[in-house]
Amino acid sequence: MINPSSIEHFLAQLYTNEALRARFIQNPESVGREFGFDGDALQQLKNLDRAGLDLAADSFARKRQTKEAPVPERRRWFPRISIFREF
Amino acid sequence: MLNLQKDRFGLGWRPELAAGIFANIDKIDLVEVILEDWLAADTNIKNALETLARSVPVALHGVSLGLASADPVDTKRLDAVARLVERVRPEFWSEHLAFVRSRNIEIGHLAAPPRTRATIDGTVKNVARAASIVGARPRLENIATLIDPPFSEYNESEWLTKTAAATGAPLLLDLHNLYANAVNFKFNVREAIAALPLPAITAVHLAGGRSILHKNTGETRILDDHLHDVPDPVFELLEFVGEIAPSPLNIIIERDGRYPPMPQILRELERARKAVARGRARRAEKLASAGVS
Repeated sequence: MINPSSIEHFLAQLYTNEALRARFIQNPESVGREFGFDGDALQQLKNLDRAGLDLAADSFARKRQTKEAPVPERRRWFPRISIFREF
Repeated sequence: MLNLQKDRFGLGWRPELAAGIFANIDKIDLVEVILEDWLAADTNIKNALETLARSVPVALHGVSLGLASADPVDTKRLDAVARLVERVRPEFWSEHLAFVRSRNIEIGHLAAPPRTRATIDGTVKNVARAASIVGARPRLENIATLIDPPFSEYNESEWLTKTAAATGAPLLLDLHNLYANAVNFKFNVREAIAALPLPAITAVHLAGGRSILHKNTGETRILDDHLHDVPDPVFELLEFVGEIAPSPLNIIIERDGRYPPMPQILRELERARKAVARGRARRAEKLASAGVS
């Protein structure tokens, strides 16, 4: 039986790796076996909510993009901090 | 300033809202500050946060620890949180019941872990470590998810209830998150709230989101984007929480963009006050009719 940490690691890869996700959508059983799933766990993977997976992965990707381009967002903090001194 | 015996109503602190918050500080009971925005700030900026905390009750809100995980939370991150908490001395701090990374992979946002005994056990260890290093347990917030977390053994209410009991931590109930999950995964949100350990709910988040469409299947989900007004059903749920939850509540409206004019945000805050007041009044009536003083 696959351990809880490895399950999270698999999900993290599924949510962030587009190529893996495409392979999974095509053949969840094969990808599941590759990651060590069997029995009930494999069945659950086959029944995984595909629309939810796509939408969640898109949402996570947008969040990562926002975090990778932080300069304008972060800089906005500094000039406005003067508001504290006025208070 | 500190009054833990009554419900309080506040806003998430954002730089775009700073001027409006200060101009209307008499209408705002507390502000919630995103912890990660300040961890790497220089001394002057942290001084400014201390000034804010002396002016108005402040809560610190974390978004990146990943407490709900089978993996141990990073000690360096906890040390940084502890230093900020020590400096700012907030009234409380909070974090999400989510995992956000695994080994070398950063997911980018809050991901729902499998709702299992194993993730409860991991969360218990992580919350205990956080409490030990930071000096106080965080309030634990339920998250919104676009995917029903696979490998789950429990439904959301069961998992939250067991997690709260096992960690001993209070709950920060995000009503829009729970509402979105209920719409997305078709469960009764009122029943889900009523099944929670109600005395443990000491804080509430309100926010808005939007409906998104899966282009291939045509399925829709609610995305909790914090870019829209708090929807009517969430105010109705707040009233319900006011009726059934016995503890004093800290209610925070979160907004992360597309900021409306401050008067509109204040109207939402006032609407939240009225919703809770209606719920509290009904609770008082029920208790009175049951002979409970």
